Amino acid sequence: MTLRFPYQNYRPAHPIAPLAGRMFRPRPVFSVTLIGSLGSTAQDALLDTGADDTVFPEWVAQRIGLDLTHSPVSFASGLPQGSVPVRYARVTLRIADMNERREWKAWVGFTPAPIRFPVLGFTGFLEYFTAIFHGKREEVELTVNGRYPGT
Amino acid sequence: MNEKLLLDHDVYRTNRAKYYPDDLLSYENEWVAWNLDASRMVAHHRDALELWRILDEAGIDSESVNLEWIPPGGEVDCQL
Repeated sequence: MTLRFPYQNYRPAHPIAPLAGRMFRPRPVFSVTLIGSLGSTAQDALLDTGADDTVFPEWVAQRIGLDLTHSPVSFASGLPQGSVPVRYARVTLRIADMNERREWKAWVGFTPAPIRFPVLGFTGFLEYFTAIFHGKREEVELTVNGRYPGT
Repeated sequence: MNEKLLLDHDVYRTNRAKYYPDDLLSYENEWVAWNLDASRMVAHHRDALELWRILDEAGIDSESVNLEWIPPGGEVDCQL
């Protein structure tokens, strides 16, 4: 089975010249739920093949009951703030479309830096899926691979 | 997981795309909680944990909302 996520369309303030003046920015953004001992939170996240890790805002960890005090830390670059700390924890992630639901445990990073979207990078996310990006119909398909550890 | 609370990505996409940056200007730098078809903003706050406190107090199921951070200007022209 394959999960299917249409790209989200976001309206910028100005027409997009390289897209022939189109008024929408299509982005592979979809809702991802993080689940912890104190609860869950669903948030729009960006599927990013250029990102090494899967990273969410730090408040999510607090909300779902993760203690990051003794978590491994690294420093990530690529944000306007420059190098920012990322603390890692094992957490349950869930994605779903109208036909299929997937839930798995993985390492997720949490950062105090403000980010437009959480990023779904290789570690924790793309390592577990075969992803097909359909540029023409602006949709991404995800199929679990042999490394997928969840249900 | 409550099966009734599945997010239909096609419907969500259609409704979310109806918002212009100007519509979202008053929410810039804030977290907003959309209902599951993005037809309605349930609550908003600059502090995400405070937003959750508001949602919890209102008895809103965490599985019935989807959070998004609104950037300065309501939307960025180009996301890198």
